Amino acid sequence: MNTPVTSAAQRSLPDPATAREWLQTMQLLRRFDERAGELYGAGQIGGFLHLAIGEEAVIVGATRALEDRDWLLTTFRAHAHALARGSEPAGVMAELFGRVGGLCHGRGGAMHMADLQRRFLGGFGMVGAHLPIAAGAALASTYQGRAEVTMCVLGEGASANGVFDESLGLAARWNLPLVLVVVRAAGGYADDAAAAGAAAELQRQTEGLGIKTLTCDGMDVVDTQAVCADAVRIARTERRPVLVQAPTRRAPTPTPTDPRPKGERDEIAAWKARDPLARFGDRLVEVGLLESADRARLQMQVGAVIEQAVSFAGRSPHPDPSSLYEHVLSPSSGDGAWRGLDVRGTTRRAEVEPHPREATK
Amino acid sequence: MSRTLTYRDALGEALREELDRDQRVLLIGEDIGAFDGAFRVTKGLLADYGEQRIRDTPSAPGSIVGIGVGAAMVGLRPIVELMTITAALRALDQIAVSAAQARFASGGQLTVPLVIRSPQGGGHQLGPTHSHTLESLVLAIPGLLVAVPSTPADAKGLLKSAVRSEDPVFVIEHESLYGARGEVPEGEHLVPFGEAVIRRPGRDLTIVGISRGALTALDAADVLEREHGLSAEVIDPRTLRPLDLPTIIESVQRTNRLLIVEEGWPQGGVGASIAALVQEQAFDYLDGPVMRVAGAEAPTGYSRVLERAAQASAREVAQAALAALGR
Repeated sequence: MNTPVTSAAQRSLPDPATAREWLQTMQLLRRFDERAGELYGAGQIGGFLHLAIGEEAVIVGATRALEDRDWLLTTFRAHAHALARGSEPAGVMAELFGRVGGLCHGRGGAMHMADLQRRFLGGFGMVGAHLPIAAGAALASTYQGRAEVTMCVLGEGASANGVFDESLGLAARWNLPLVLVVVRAAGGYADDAAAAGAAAELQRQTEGLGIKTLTCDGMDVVDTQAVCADAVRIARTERRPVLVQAPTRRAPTPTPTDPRPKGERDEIAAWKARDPLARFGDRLVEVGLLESADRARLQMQVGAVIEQAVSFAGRSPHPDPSSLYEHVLSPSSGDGAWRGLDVRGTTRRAEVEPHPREATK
Repeated sequence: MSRTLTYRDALGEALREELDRDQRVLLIGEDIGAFDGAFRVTKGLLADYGEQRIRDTPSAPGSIVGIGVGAAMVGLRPIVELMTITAALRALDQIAVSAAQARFASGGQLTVPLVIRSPQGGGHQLGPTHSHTLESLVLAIPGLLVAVPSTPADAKGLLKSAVRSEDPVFVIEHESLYGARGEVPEGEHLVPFGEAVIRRPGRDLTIVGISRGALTALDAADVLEREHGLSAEVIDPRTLRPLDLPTIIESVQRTNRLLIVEEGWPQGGVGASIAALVQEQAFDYLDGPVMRVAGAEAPTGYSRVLERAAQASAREVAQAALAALGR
């Protein structure tokens, strides 16, 4: 295994303002998901909702390695990435509610959230489908002579998909500035050894494609940011793809899409000892970068923002059914239907004048 | 000024003109560079435009379409060539989901101005994996424009229009037409999407021909005139999404009879859809059932005899026309 140059505990902290911003963003993701999980249970949010509780460090660390000009793509665990990239919580929550005020006007939902203004090309619902799209985005930046990097977050399962080798092979051959962040979410504690074995296998697979691989502690925001920043720097300056493996562990609590009641007491205790949000906050207090009162104040601000987001989402109207065809095609291509069809796919028969023999009856 | 070109060279000319006009245009595909393309459409482009713009890839249809999608989202105008439309089956999730739905799913934020080119149709004894006609499969996908040029001039004009579209376009070429010759306008020649052309005016019957079916329909119209004294009107829609239904309806209002000729499989085919629309919108004008001639509901055989048996001849189309006329 390619281990970080320094262990996570030794990574030095960023300046106080930056550290506080990272902490508060992690708090935002955590509280947002706690509320979203409740609202899912209450029936306000539909579909699949993939929570990111336990992935705050890897999401915030990875996105904080990017500049504004860089591009981001991720899996179906999209809403947390949108928040980390700076999308308005109200727009994100309204999208989960399927409302007009949502980032995608209720058309994408939790799995397909995009925010072009923040160069977030989206969540992608099909496992691995976004890998070649990320390579294409990196190609577009390179082709146009812009020093942008594309970051593509994926789960380890996507590496078994054929497009993984195909896309990375082309990215290596075409010298594309692409950073892949492989989030490996271990389940129970017995999985740690298996996860390490799989990580070593993925490293061999990736290096076989000629791609540099790095590893970070996905439960530590400081280490994740440092390693991902290194990967982004290499991709940007050396014009080549880099892969970062980030082992993580999501909270062992039932989630909307993983309802297994596996909250055994010792397992929850083990996870809490590694909780990336609690550990980072504790560290900032211990080293004196943050007062306990400040930490609580940041958390209160986050709570207020999220309640405002929930309120906004609840007040935002549902899309009008007549808007169904909006954005199917660009306005320059017509109304999105075969000409003569209405929005339900049925024909407007009255458009054709009656036959003379019918009219005279 | 126009001059005679092959369908292949008309497509090649369109690619060169668009590469010259817009630096954002680049080509991605298997064997399109050093090998000049499986059907020589991209002949000489690598030497003239270089490997930044003419990108050879391995055989990985899903990934190269996906790369085209990503490049289009971030500002380029990629043209992806698939060696055969059967390869599109391997890329179907990128075509149907990533390319065709990105604009919708993002609430109009993302655009995918991507062109996918691919040949379909038999004629070279390539058997079941390289001879199919899958336009109805592609047409089933909302968010995707579909062009089916049958002449060299339309091949050039539709491809050039496709490159300028804000939406993803599948340009389906016909494999047996690459060597066909025809008049092609020089320079800027754009065929707008959603405008059918009446290839031959007539009084007694309307025949709508899809892709090469339009040419078969013209031959059948000759047979009908010569042997039966009948006057058939032949319409080539040229694009299937958008479809110029008004031109078809207007013709049926005059002739009161309709036959549709396509090479794809009959179930859920383009002909079935057009027949449904016409009877819904112009039922009062029909003096007989709308008839279809489609490809046989069977895989394409390798044997020359079996390959021919899967597609109707002009004479068989003429027979179907007589049936539509109640004769």
